[in-house]
Amino acid sequence: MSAAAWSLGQLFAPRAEEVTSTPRLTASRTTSAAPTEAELIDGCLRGSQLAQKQLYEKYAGRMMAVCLRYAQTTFEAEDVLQEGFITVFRTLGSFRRECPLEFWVRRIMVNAALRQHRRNAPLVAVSEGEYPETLASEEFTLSNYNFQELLEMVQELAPRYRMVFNLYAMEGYNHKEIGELLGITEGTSKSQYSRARVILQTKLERLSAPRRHVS
Amino acid sequence: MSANPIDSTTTDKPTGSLEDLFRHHLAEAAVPPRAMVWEQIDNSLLQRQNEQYRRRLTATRWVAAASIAIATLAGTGWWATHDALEHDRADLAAVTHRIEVAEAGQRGQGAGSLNSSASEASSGIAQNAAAPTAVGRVAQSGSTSSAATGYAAIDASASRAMTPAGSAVSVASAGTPGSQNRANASLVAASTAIGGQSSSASRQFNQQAAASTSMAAVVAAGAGKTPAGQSAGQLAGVTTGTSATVGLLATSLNTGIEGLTSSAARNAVAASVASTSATAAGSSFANRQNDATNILNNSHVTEDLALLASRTTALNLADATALPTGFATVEVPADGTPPATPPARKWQFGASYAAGVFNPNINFSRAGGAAEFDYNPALGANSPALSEAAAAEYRNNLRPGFSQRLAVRATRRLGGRLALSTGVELAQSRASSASSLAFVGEQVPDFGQSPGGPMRTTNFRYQTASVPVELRYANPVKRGLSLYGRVGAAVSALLGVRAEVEGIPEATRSYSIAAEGPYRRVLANVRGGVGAQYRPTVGHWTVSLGPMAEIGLVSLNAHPAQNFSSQSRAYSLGLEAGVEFGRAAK
Repeated sequence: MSAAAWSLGQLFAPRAEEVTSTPRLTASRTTSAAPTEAELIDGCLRGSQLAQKQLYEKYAGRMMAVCLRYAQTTFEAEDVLQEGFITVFRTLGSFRRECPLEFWVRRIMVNAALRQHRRNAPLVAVSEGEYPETLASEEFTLSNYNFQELLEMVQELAPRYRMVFNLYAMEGYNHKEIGELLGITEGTSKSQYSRARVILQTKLERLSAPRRHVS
Repeated sequence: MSANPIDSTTTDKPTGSLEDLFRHHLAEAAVPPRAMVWEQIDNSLLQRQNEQYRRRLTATRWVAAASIAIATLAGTGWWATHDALEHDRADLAAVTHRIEVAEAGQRGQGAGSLNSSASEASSGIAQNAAAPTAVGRVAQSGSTSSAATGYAAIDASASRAMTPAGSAVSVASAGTPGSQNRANASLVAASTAIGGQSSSASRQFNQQAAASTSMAAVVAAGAGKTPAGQSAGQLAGVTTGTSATVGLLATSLNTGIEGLTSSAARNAVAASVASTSATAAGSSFANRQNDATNILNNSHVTEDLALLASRTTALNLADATALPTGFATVEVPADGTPPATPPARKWQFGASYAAGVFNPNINFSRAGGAAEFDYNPALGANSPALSEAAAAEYRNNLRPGFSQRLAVRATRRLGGRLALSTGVELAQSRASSASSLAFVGEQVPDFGQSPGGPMRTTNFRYQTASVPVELRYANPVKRGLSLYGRVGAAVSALLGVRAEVEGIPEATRSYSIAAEGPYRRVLANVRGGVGAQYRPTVGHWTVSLGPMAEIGLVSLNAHPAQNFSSQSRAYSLGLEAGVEFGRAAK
């Protein structure tokens, strides 16, 4: 795992307000302090259903967002989420607690998404559409776009482009690692990422054009 | 300059590259999934939990069955050992009782004690049979110097032993000289019969003894002057002879004793004993005669006679002078008490630990087999070829690992240097391999790897429980260092296999004995080993150390494609150290 991925993992660590705002069940509602990550892990290892649900609720939202980026539909993302969490609970004993739990869970979700991609890739035929070969780099105003618009853009990418783009731009893997994960060469990963970037940039420009016109 | 306020504030808004834009909006986003997702996860976890409970229940049953088997083995061993000890104690008590009875009889004085002494002596006779009777007499006479002169000694000593009776006869039967001759003839005949020279001699002895009986009755009726104590002492002498004397003479007279096994001979000796008793006891002759007859007809006597008759003899040697002329010199401890020889235990219990290398030696390849790998939809249309490639990589990179085995066992001596042992063993073995695919004995769903990619090491751990049966060859007597050898076989249950792919914890697979998997759950193997064992001079334990080898009779994989003779089988080599507790053989 590259350093970039690690830093992203730390970046994605749960924020305090998110943890405290996560709804919990029964016992946790009556206690003043939220269970710590270690307590959740220990509870899950003991087979506590309450701890499992607390862990799920703590990370389900962010992991669903991850799954949506890799999947083409919400249903597919939910399948990946379900498979990923089952894997989490099944292999939690092998978690060495050397990194934040969220980073570990996210990695399992990514692997689950890759497995789903492997299963579905031969069955999916996506038209790339008409896009230029290259585009000059451009600065984007972050507030001009919202989550749903950007998510749809990613989901509309061809699966192979979507995978490479997510792994490189979002997870922080380098092209060599992406090549190993997807079974492609490093050059292929680079070219597919470049192609995905051009597609997304074109879509962003197309999306921003009417807004400029309206404004 | 535009008048659009948006344009005027653009420079204040954060901007970034395309990657920054997507990270900003997507990386930290959270989208609550529908509630049904958790319900499905919870349901799956519940099913998995139930499966685990079912596996634990199965494991518990296995452990319970193994515990019962161990308890049964241990109980049987204890019972066998305890029963042998009790038997030895009973024998010892019986012998002690006989000696005490004989001593009491020898101490008997006067006519008042005659009946009881004679009765006890008769009891002693009943337990020691007629042959020791003669032996006892000979022992008292001291004619034990040479077995070669046994016949003569018996004749002479018997005559001397019977001197009081002879005197009594002489005194009492003065008017019947012929009867003394008949009595002497009966003794000679008895000696002849004891010598077992011919059955006719026995018959003659029988006839003569009958005559002697009638004669003795006459003598007893007329006189009865023989000291009762002496007569009782003669009878008691049956058992007062030392065991060594009895042993020696029993050996020397074995042939004669064999002659006594016939009912005619027994009757003859009974009559002889009766006549002797009559000589000493006088009026109680008839009772003692009946007692003696009854004693000799007793089944115990028959058994003892048969027991003695079964002993080997050296009297039929051509050169009788080659026989020993006396007792061998035996070292006696300073305190004079003979060293106690504890009874040997047939069962020994021990434990052993073996460490070595283990190679599962599995060939998962189905090349050349009847069927290819099954189509796996998770791996795509090319899954059989992918699985075959993974199996080949696994086979090429398979490396043996550390193996250790702990065993508790019970060993039963079969006689000589052979012993049979069984018990329970628990073993854990490791091995490793590498594959560019996540191959753990089966092709698991792809974890982002592809054929030809970088190799990832897979570590395997195998846990087995076995019941071995081994034939052991070792010197059960020798103290100090000695050699041993053993061969055997074992039936094993593969309790579990765990496969971990380095770097991909999600690919970890655990196969229990209750679950279907690519590994065979019941195994069989043969094994052997040689080594050295050490048994201390003092103490009842033995330690052993030596190399051992083991090879499976069946392959470790459940569904090999190869025919039986071409299958690859697991094997292990290592050292085994063990300790056993229990007394050595006599």
